[in-house]
Amino acid sequence: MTSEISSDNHRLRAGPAQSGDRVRLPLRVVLAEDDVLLREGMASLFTQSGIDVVGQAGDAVQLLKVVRATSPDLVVVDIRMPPTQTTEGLDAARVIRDELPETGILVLSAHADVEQAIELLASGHGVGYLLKSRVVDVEDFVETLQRIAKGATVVDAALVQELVSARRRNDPLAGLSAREREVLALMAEGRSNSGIAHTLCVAEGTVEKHVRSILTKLGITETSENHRRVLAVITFLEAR
Amino acid sequence: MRPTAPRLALGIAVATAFIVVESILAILLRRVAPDEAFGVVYLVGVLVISIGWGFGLAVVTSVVSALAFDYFRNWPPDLVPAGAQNWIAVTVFLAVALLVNTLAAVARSRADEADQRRQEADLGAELAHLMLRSGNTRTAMDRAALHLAQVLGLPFANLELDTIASDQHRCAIPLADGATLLVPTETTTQTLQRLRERVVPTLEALMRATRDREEINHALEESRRDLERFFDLSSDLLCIAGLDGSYRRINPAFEKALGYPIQELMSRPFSDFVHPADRSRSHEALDQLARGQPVAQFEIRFICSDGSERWIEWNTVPDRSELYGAGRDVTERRVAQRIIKASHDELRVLAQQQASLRRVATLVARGADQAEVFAAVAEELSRILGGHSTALCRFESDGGATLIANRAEPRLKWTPVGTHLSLEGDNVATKVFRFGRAARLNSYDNAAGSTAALIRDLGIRSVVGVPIVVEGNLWGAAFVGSTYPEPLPPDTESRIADFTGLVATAIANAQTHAQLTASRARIVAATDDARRRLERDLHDGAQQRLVSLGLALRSAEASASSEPAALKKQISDIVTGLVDVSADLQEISRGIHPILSKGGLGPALKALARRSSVPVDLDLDLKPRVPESTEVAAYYVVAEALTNTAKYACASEVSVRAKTDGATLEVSVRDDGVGGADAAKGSGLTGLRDRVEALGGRMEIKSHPGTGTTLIVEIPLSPP
Repeated sequence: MTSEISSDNHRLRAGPAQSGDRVRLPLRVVLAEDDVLLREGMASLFTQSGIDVVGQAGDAVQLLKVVRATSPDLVVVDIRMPPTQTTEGLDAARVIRDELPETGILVLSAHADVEQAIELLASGHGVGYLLKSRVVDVEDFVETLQRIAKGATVVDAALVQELVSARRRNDPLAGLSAREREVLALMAEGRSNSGIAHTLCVAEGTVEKHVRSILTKLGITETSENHRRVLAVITFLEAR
Repeated sequence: MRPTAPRLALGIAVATAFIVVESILAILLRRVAPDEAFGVVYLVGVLVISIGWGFGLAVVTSVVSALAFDYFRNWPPDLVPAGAQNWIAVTVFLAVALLVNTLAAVARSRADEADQRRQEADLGAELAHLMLRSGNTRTAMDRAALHLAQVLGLPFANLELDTIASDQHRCAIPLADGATLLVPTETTTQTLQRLRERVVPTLEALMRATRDREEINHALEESRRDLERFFDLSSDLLCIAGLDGSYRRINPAFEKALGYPIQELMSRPFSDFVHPADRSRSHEALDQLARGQPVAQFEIRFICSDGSERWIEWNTVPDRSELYGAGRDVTERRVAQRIIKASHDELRVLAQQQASLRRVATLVARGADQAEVFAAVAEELSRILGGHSTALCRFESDGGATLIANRAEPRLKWTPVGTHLSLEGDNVATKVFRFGRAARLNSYDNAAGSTAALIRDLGIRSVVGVPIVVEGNLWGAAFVGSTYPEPLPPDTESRIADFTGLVATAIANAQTHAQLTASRARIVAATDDARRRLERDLHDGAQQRLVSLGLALRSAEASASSEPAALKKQISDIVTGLVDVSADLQEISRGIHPILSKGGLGPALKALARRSSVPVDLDLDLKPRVPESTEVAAYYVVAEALTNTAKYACASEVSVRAKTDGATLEVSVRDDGVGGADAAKGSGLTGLRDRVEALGGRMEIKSHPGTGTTLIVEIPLSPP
């Protein structure tokens, strides 16, 4: 249920090659989750999947300490952590982004919150926002980790679905065809044109045509940057 | 009427004497100057005789005088006249003498005529006097006739009102209007002529005048009798009084009104009957009238014979030395007026008090702020109690009192609200506090204590205080203070008490309301806490557990041998089931408590709008951030309203507006559905109302069938 955007920005650790699977392995990950049982379960699963869990943390302070000490490729952080159980994970992610901008960040949330997602997306590429329950789909989840580490931006499909399916009066999306809606949803999930083409089993050129049409109908100026495209679409959907 | 002629003998003697004297005079004069012109002296005698004795004797005298003149002209005398010269002289003398005679006769006749006229005029005047003076026509006529007979020298004369014919004794002279004048038949023609020509017109005129006067008198008498009747009948007091202060005449109404017999009223100066307090006023009026100045109506009291007082309203006009007065007894009118005025005053006071009470009661009923109610009571008390200073105070647990509202009489210093008052010493507040009932102090001159000093410094002399008792407990007191030396009226306590009752109600209401609000808030807060805990427990507990279990199963799945494949498949299915359960749980927990992230109400409402099955038109203007409890309430309102719209309204769209306006958050949810929603029936809406009112807000639902449903909520941003 996740998708990726192939980024033009290359991760340093990914080396000079540009292909999608060229992230250096094993992926070095720090895991922050206050529920020990869940954290251990995730760590064990990650390890089994060939990921190097270089550090674990039960709260934001510990997380920052560990991240600063280990400089991981990716941080997986629960949004709610002690002491207030509100947005500690998100705050920590912001600090990490400031201090170590090349570190990929995946924020896990118990529920889909558009505001949180947008704030996270605004912090740049190599980020993801997923519902915590996604970890159970281990393969998919690990793959998502790898994509984020490569610089992709990932948004939980449930959130995108909510945004796209929302009904409004004078809905600007009303002007879109069913196919265009599908393409828009995939765009919002962070998929590239080729990824969308693959998912919908159509030619990439067709997708490009759809994307142009959608952006025109919605009045969004297309940029060359995929991340910005996602952000623009999400912001538009939320703000309309 | 002619004067009787002097006797002839006397005439002859007089004539003779004149002639002798004249002849001697002529002889003497001739010696002085010999001339014949002295013959003229003989004319004197002729003239005298002619006037005195008539023409005949005068002619004789003339002839004798002529002969004497001629004889003594040439003294010593010749016996025979000498020649024709003598005859000429005698003839001239005789002619002159005769002429003189004639002239004298004419003069005499004129004199007689004048005398007659004078007599007639006298007669006319005399008759007029007789006839017009007499009250009775008949008597007047008899007297006039008698007088007429005397003056004319008739044996009798009668005046009759009837037409009477002449008979052998009486000659009838008809008068106008059928009357007749009767005189003796032997009356001379000359006299009859005089009567007819000159006396009768006078008599006729006089008789007409007499009759006219009689008619006039009659009419006067009639009118006087009419007036008399009115005078006697009038219920008004009518009088004629002298400027000396006594009654000349009064009507019976006096007797009736004042109870004194008329004789007594007439025998004493009228100021004796005037109330002592009104005497000076009565004198002033009298003086003014005596000066001839008109006096407008004036009212004075009279003391009746039974000692009671009667108010008499006088209208008076002066006429020479008298006063004409008309008085009306206005005692009843004055009493009625006083009663009406008193009842008007009473009504006005009552109405004023009712209006004041109503204003305060309206404030209380409206649930107005306590300070506002207190200030209003202080003002209304001052208004209905004649503008005195008023104050309300609350008794504190420390044994003191706090001024909670007051209103100072103009020009008096105002004591600020919040001033602490000591309940030591002598003052009304202390009395009320100690005994729990109304108290008063009519002088603070020697009162001890700081509160008494404060009151004294303000210039207040007497105070009435009434307790404010809230649900059986002495809460405070209301006071009215006067700067006047006399004590406050005795009904002051009861009039203040009407207001203290309202104040107590306002306080009790406010206390009850505060308790209710606090209790609601506690309930809502407890509910919210429970929901929040539940939501946390679901998310961080159950859901987390599910995820952990899922992971553990994945782990088991990974470590399980590839055989039997069925087991792996089963484990995978269990994991999928767990994920579904987790998703369900997430959906359930979402409605339990709103996760209001730091974006606050706006994003939360947007999320609600997105999930609504009815298209939502969202209009948000939320600045600044509102308190979380308010946000939660607003969130629930919108969530519940959108759920109801989706379930019942059959609406095609719903409009959600939320805006902060300074001190208030206003949220409205308006759909275009079927309407007819009833807040009383839906427990969801009732719960919302509780939640909103716990925050001091209000909720309004307008939902007429066919016009959609509108839910409006206003919540103050600062909680109560």
